[in-house]
Amino acid sequence: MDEKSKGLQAYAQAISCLPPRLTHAALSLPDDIRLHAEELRLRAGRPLYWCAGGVEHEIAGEPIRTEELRDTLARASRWSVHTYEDPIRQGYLPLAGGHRLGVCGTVSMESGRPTGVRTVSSLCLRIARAVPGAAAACLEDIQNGEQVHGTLILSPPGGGKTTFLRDLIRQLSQQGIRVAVADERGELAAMRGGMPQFDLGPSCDVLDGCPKAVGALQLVRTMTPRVLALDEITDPADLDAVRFAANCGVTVLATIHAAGREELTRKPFFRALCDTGAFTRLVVLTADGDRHDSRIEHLEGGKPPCC
Amino acid sequence: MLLTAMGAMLTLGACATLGMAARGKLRRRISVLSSMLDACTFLRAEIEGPHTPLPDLIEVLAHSQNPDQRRLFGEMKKRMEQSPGMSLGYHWSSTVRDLREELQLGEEAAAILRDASAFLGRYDTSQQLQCLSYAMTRLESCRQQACEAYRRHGSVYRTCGIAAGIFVVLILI
Repeated sequence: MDEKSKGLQAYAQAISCLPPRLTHAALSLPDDIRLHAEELRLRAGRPLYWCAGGVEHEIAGEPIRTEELRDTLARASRWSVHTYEDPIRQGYLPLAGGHRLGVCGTVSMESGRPTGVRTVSSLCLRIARAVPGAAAACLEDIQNGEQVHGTLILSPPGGGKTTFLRDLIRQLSQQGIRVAVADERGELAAMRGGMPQFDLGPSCDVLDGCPKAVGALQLVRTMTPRVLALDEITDPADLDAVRFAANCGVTVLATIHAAGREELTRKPFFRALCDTGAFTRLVVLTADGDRHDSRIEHLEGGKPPCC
Repeated sequence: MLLTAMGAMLTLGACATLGMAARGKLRRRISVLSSMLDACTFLRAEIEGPHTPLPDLIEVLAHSQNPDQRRLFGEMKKRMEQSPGMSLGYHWSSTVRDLREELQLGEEAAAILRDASAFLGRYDTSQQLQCLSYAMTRLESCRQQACEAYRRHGSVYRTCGIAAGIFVVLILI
């Protein structure tokens, strides 16, 4: 299957959770848009939008009804919203194929903690696609012969961090380097029936659906990886997992949200990450429309000069 | 004389059968309502406990030992496979509507089950459990009414059938 067919197939798979009217609208887009669309935006009382490079484009049609949003959520959860309460509580729903449905609305609370979304007001359908070679330009800097450098990949949301990390895992795994992946949201590997739906190479072990911090410790203890991959580290518990892995001699590859290096260095969390000494490379991803670019920086002694 | 006796026996048998059939219908209604209540109890336990997805629960019920559950949920499963684009609520509702007479669910019980299509799988656990409990209370009330009808009228139908048979035979002789 060629790349175009794969891209169109990924799009069709992602939109299969939409109700018939919206599926029809999403399928009315020409092939080149379907290949490049990164997200579909659904908001109550607004038309459907497709999104690429951070820019939203309207798809002509009737405004979306609240009932259609609820229907989308029910379809995405295989008519079993109760099965996905935990991720929905965190604001998203993992879909087959590594796609993701972001959920926004009126949250119901119990004892001070969110228990679900009572009324859905908007949804963000993120279309996951493998981009073979996305990490190729940085691989030489990240890998030095047998040695793999701890690498932190940063970009704003939708900047291609997960795609970059997925390709990096694939390339290392194809060289026989054992990579363990703590895939909390199921976006890196998109496991189905024990098989990853994205190519992660032959030497990759995936633990999915488990909180990263817990999963990382488990993987280091049980799968003896040389490299540990974590997507979107945000939590202090993730920091402990990174520290633990680094102290066990495991190289960590991780992604983090930040618009750029300057924003990142202002975050206390980042300084704490640097203090673990787990990272010696920083990959900064930038997007300009459909064009994605990557830049690699060396962290001296595990820290950027400004830290 | 022999022919008269045979005719009398046949007439008596036919009338008694009619009475017994009316009684059986009342008993059948209790049985089907109990089956549906059992199915709801199963759904409630699975939604509350392991949070099993609804299509998987329908699959289990489609292979149930209970013939009523097997018929209803088997048909639902078949329709879901044939038209995966339609919502589960639609399949649930239309299957109950189409099998209402065959299963002898009765109008009220069928309406209660069809109402369930509006919430099953669409809301979080607590909301679904709340709605399911309400539906079960209503179904239980239907079942109690059916039990009461059976207790009151079951024997009457049977006795009336036999009595009508005797009456007809007496008139004919």
